[in-house]
Amino acid sequence: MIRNVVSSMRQVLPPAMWLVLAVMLYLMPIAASLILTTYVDWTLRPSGQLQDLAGLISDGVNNIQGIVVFLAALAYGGWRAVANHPAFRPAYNQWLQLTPWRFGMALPLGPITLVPADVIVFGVLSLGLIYHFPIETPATIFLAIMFVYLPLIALGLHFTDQRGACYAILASLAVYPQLYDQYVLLCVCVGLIYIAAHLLVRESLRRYPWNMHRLLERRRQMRRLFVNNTRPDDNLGWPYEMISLNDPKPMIRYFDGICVSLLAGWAVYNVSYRITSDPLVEIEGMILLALLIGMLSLFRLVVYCNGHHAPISLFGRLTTGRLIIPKFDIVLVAPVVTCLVGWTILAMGTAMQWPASIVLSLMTAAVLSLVINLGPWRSRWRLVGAHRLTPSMLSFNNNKNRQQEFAKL
Amino acid sequence: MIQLRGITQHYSVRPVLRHVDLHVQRGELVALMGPNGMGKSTLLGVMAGTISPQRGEIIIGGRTRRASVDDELAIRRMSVWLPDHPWLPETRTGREFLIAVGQLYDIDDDRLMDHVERLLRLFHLDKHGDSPIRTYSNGQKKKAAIAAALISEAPVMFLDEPFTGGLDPSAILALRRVLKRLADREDVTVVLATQLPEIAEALADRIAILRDGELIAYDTIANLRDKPDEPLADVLERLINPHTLENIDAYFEGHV
Repeated sequence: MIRNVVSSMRQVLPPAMWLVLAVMLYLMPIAASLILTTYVDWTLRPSGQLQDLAGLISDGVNNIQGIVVFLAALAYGGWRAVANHPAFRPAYNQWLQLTPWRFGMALPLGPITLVPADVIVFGVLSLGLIYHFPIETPATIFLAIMFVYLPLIALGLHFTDQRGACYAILASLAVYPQLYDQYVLLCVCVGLIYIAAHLLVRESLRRYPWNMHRLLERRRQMRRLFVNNTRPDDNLGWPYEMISLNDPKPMIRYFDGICVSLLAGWAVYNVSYRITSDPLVEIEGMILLALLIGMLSLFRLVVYCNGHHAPISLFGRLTTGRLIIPKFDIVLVAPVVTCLVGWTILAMGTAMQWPASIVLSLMTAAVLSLVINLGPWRSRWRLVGAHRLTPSMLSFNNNKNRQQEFAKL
Repeated sequence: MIQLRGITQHYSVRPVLRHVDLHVQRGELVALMGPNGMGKSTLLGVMAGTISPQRGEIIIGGRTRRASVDDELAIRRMSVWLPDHPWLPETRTGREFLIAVGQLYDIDDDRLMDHVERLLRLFHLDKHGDSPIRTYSNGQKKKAAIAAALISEAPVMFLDEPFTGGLDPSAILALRRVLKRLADREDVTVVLATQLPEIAEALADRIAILRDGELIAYDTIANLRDKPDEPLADVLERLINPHTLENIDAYFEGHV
């Protein structure tokens, strides 16, 4: 019996090092308070202020320990979603595909969904939190674990091609800001979302094996976009880093692009409507938002044109009368349209006295949707656009020799 | 193999290339020559696909450059470009760099490993193959860049000043022999820009001479000569810089 419990606990708990680290973080305030109390005892006893300070230190230690317990609950939620999920661990997934594992059998590393062993962790964390903050309830720990667990499970569903389900779960997490003052109802709703997620994870496991190649390709693309120059096959120097010999594929599919934009708008609405329901009237705020839209558009332009410059200079265009070069200038269309649409929504919302949350959410959804979805595909344009290839900015900045060469030119 | 039709290019106002037409046969080695700043590197860049010309079209292996995704991909896979100033990944070793470029061109692993070893030995880089490129001298970096172009096994090579940049005599000899053999026996098409008449004489099947962005001559060395025994340097002088000798005389005689 005990062996079974220990075995199931080992499947859900993080590695011992992490647990030791968590315990150390939890105990550290006590150690600090002991040192501080000794110091205070030595220096302040004669002045008679000792009682007040000891109480303050004790309260501080209590609060910090309570926060550590809460953070541990958040971390545990993340760990449980990711640790045993083959979609987050390519090597595990690859190995699992070679085993006779099939749906209905226990996953070798441990379960993805919550199991009775989680109740023990949940209980310990709840006791810890209530001990430090008596007004809190176990529901706080449940909500904290789910706050991290559910989005990551949704991401896992995206990796396993249940994209609609992923976005539905993410959208439903709006219950957190919507119902944060109705605790019981919030717990019920989160519980229901968990049940849905649980069933969807089972469904994804039923479809196992997933297409690992597509998963890896997607990750590779994302890394290329966001952390360019860190993968070995990107860092090949000039000119190899700039020539693409792979078939171009859209970085983000339309469905994902639209869902992500709507989700972002929905998230902005849920956060902002709690803050204010007033119309957007402050000029500073409007200028800031207009600048943000411009910067987002500019970001897209930089991503496209990094290492792919216009074939002739602006001066050359003006003097030769070739003001528009369609095969290059097509990359300017999306940023310009994005700015126009974003600024129009901002102006209309202000003129018609719409609540700020509506303006912000509409603007977010529209701007993101345009930035992400408007063509041309970056990978395609880089093959057929009328541009001039140059070394990429990122690797240029990382290479002193390049800078010296550039200085010579 | 390579056809340029009516290529016109300008970065700003001054045209760098004007209506250049050029046709290079499969397995031919063509040397691009001309005074500094007259468009050699730009023409190579146009052929290599780094520059999109304002007018004209580039056809390589029957496919038009940047006409469609398929065409462009096919051309990129069949060609390699060595720029005048290649910038190498400083933190990687020479061997890693060559393997990565070979993998980029989808070379079979076994053949790639073997080819890397042979190239490192050919350019006397075998002792430095496992050192980071940042520790290489300028000449060794140039050798690594040349080896990277060769490891691609591309049937079309565009080489911008491959014989300059601190190459030692043995590397120059090795590169000359390798290029000649690739063109003669393996049908590799090579277009290289060079300022060295002896290189052009030893290697080139045809010489293309650019002046003021125009292709003023494009023929075999024999046909470019006025007399059969005319040295190539004189031929080039006559075609490229017809006033050089007069300028020298004027300089010493104090004329303007």
